[in-house]
Amino acid sequence: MSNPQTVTATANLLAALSLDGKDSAGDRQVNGSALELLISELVNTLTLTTQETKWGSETAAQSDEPKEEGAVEARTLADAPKRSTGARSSPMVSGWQEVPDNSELMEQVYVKLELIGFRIGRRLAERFAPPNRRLTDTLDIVKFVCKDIWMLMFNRQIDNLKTNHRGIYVLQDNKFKWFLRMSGNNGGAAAARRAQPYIWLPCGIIRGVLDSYGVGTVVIAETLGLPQCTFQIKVVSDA
Amino acid sequence: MKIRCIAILNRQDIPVYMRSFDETLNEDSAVKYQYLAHTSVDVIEERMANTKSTDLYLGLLQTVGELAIYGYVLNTGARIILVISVPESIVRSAAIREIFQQIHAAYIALVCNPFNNEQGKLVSSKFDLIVSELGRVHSN
Repeated sequence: MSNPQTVTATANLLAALSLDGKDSAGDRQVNGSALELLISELVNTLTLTTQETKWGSETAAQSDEPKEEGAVEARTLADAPKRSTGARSSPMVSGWQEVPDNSELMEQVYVKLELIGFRIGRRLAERFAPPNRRLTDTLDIVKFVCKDIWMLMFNRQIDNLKTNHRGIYVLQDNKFKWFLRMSGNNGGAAAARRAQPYIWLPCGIIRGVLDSYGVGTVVIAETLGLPQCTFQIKVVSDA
Repeated sequence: MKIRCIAILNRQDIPVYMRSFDETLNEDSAVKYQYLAHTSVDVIEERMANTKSTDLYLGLLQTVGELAIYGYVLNTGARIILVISVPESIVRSAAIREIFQQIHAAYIALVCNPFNNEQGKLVSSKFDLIVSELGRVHSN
């Protein structure tokens, strides 16, 4: 029969192998801003590396600058105006660079970001599933996304959830955390377009979480004006 | 109470982890536990469909001879099956629940490891260690 000692022994072993989510000094904690910084860098770096790997040889042939090695180097502000000639030129300074017009490039970046988000979502779903109750139907699962997942990632909840009860859910966030630090100097529409890549990752995360719970979906996000952001979830196959 | 076998099946009822604690390891025991796991699946489906309770712990699924089989289902679809040899004294469900929760915790850690191959069997030495430990402390 198990007694308090044997239970503690297993709990101690779990802790020793750091399989219980904590480490010996207590809960691991990371500064919340780190995620925002990571995301902005992630989008940029993926865009650059995708561009370099797909079109790297072409741009090197076109430009008369010395060809750089595979990794992306940081360039200075002074270089940027000289080099930003066309869609294929190497972008540099983050933030104010126009979204490259190359839609094939952005499609590749979209696929990568969404896939990364998907895998993150699967693990989030496993790690933070409610430990003592079962999620019953799709609406329950979507509500879980709105409340718990959003709380984990952005420390707030979704502002508005709409559904047509036939498989379409619309999540509206009026102060999307990652948009709060973005401002568009060209006005609403251009800034919204430039902010598009940054919501592809949350799309993937939502899809990953829902897929973990057995709901196959397609998730599309759009923003009509920073910092507002809308996610549309279309259920493809049900739990 | 002695733990005989811990098995984990995924959402499609395919076994992804099977660990038996029999002293005599032979082909028969492996096949026997696979068979038990498969028959328990039907009971699990039935329990999940019927029950009004939204508990993860499904309780005693069935008894086969001197073995008692308990089930636990995860929100992400995985099913954990625990086979114990029926003891003389009464088994508290709280104790079984606790075992399941520890397996669940170890499972979460295993899944969260980005280096784990998602498809196919669960392979992890840390997870094996936990399961071995569980088998050891509950083998009196």
